[in-house]
Amino acid sequence: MDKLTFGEAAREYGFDLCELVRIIQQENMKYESVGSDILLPEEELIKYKLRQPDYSVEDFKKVAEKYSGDSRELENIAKVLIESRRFELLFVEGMEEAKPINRLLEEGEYEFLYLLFEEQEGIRRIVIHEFGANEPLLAAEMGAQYQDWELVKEALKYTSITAVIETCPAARTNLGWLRGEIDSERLSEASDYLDEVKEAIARIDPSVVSSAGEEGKVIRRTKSMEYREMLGLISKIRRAVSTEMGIKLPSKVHFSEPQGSYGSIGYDRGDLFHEQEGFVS
Amino acid sequence: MSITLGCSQTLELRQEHRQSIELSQRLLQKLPEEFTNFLNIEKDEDRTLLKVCLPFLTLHEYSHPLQAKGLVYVPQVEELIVKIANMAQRDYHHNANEVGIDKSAMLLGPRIGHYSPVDMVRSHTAMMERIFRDYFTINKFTPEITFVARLYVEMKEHFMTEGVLPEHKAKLEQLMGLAEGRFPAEDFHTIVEQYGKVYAGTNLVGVNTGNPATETSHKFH
Repeated sequence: MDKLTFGEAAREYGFDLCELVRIIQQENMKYESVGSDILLPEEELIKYKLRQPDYSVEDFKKVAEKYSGDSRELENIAKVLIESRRFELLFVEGMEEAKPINRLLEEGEYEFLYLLFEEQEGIRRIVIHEFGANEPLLAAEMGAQYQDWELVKEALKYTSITAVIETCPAARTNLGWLRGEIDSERLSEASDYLDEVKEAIARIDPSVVSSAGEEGKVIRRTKSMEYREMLGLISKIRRAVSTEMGIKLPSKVHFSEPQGSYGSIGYDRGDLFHEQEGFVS
Repeated sequence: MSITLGCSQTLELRQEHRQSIELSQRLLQKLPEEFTNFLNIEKDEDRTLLKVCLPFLTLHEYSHPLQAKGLVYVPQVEELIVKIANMAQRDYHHNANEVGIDKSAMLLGPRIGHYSPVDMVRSHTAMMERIFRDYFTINKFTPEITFVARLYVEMKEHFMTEGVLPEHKAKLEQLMGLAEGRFPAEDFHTIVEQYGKVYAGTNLVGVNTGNPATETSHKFH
């Protein structure tokens, strides 16, 4: 990262000069004296800013934009963010820029979030909370898609299971799994919504209610292992090719299997546009 | 029931209904495509085979954007002088380009330092096994001459790769035999000849692929 003069640091990060002197002393920041001025490492200033309770998403966006394309620096910044337990924005290896959780959701970056879940249990909890508070049905959809019962359960604190089943396609296609989870839940702790769940499922597909159960649990385990393992491998290959060939590759990964083809990975249209417009290093 | 509701309650219900529709539409816009037409990892006929295919398949797909960025050179295929029955020109040209994309995948594996050429042949062979199973064993799809010619050319090339294990060579021979008998021999080999030139002429732009046969692999797990 760059080094900033005293004046630049104050302007860039919105400190008045007295405050900046206090911060340098308080944080024991290392600086260099050059003539009549001093040079401050920007990284230290960013770290300090990130730790402040009034540090806003907008502030972070400014930093993220400044370092957009420099994934190593962004990763460093994100680590600071994680260490300081501020989770409004997330950065995962392979992403070009840190993004707010809601934006990841809006852009359908479920894979990124889910890979992150696996690595950082703490982040997972926070993300679940953010999902639940802001977009319960999107959270439930993602939970159903990845068969993550904890995520669905968190979403149900903010919405009804009827709404989930009627609105979320993945919940409907995974009814067997949902029913299996509900049965397990009943064994451990009683919840108010269980009867509602069963009624909702019965309305959508009565056959599922009688046939699901343990089978749903088995499917869940298989799916998690196989899916995540393959997704992880694809992700690693993508990063290696990106690094080696110096271009950003599409992040969305779906395999199709049409006639006369091996199968294909679905591209994120936005990524391709970015490439064409030359925004990607 | 609705008759007994007061005016404000009725409005409220309508509003909720509208919000519910809006949310459904929003969800549909945001959600990834449904997976009905995609490979189903859980239900695939042979998941082990699918996993072995994955490096080749992934590198094949990532070769497309590399080609679009000018990082993969695929030569134009020559036009055919003879007319081949049941062959669409569009398929002929499409699969010619795909031959180049496949070659790019084979070069990228060693290039990124994670797969040796022999690893890539193994992954490609698994892909071929999978396709031939779908076409000729479980009859999931109908074989098309340019697609099968493309696979044949590649298997023929890979058969010559130094270090390929005898069992993989045997598998390649078996699969090539399956491909050869499916179409009129003259037509098939006319296309194979043209695609062979595309395969030979394809390369990663500005990249020295070195001596692939001796490169060490660092596999992903």
